[in-house]
Amino acid sequence: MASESRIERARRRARAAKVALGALTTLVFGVAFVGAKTHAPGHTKHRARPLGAPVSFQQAVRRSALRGGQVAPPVQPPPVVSSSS
Amino acid sequence: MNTHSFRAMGCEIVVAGIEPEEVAAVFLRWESAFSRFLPQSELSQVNASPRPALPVSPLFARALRVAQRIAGATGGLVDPTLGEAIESAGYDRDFPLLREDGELGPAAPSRLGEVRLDGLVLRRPPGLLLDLNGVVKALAVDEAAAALRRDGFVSAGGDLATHGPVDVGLPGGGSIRVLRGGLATSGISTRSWRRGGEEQHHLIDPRTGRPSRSPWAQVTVSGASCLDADAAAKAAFLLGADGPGWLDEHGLPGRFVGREGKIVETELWARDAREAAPCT
Repeated sequence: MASESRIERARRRARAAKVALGALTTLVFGVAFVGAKTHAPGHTKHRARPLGAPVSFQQAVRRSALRGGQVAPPVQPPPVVSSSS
Repeated sequence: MNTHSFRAMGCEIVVAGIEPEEVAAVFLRWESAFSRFLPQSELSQVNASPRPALPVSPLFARALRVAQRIAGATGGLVDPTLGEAIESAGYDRDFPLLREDGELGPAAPSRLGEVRLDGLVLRRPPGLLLDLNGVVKALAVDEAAAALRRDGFVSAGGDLATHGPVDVGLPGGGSIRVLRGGLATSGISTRSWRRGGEEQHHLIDPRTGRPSRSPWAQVTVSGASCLDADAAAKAAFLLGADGPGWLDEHGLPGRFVGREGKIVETELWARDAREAAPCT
């Protein structure tokens, strides 16, 4: 009886270990699955947004470039003359 | 359009659509801070200081930052560290007071990398002479034009910023309508003198530290502001034969007058100067 009882206890511990191991495996898989869906671009269900430079960078580039004005044919005698000064 | 004119910064200021006294106050503020020929100007005091680091005013810091930005945008061609070079070439006093001829000083190429601005603290080796006049006049024009409350313009020696369309006469003849932004001309027709038996002028090539030997007499550029137009005109002048291509690459309409009077227009200028603007 005593040895059967030890075998039964051992089987119970083995069953519990299997359940715990199975639950842990399921949990790890679930976390990894959700993480991959959220963070890895290839796994996301949402449409990927185009890569864009930060606004601060765009502003810096715009500030450091010279920008053209707009000219057109004249329509009346000029009130002022542009010349080197 | 009623215009008013007065003199400041060594050139004629013409304004329309704004009180001339308002514009004069702006020019006086910039000139008193950045004149190379007023001993009490902040620029003169900075250039004379033996200290390697010194505090500067917010206006000075702003102008130097703009000058550094313009140097970057023009590949280093419009450079605020050429004060020694221009003095070596002989431009060491108000233009009407320049001597007829004399000795040419040593060449003084760019020292742009030796200037640092940390907030309102300027660091540069003592003896390095800053010259911010490459940007100061255009900054004054843009600041004064920003106060325009109706159609008009502010012009300093023909470098102008406008609010509403204005027709402008061009070097070498002809005229153009500036619809918006600024227009500036850089060249050697007005300010040139002799030193060492050769013609000198104020447009220094930072690569040689000497007045540029550009084939152009005057370069006119249309920019989004007077500052952009003026910087681009100076850079295009200094680039010589590469100037028109450089302006086209940067989308800036420009017009060049050669020393023999030949006129060259960039693609953008040629297109816009002949096409009527669409109604808006």
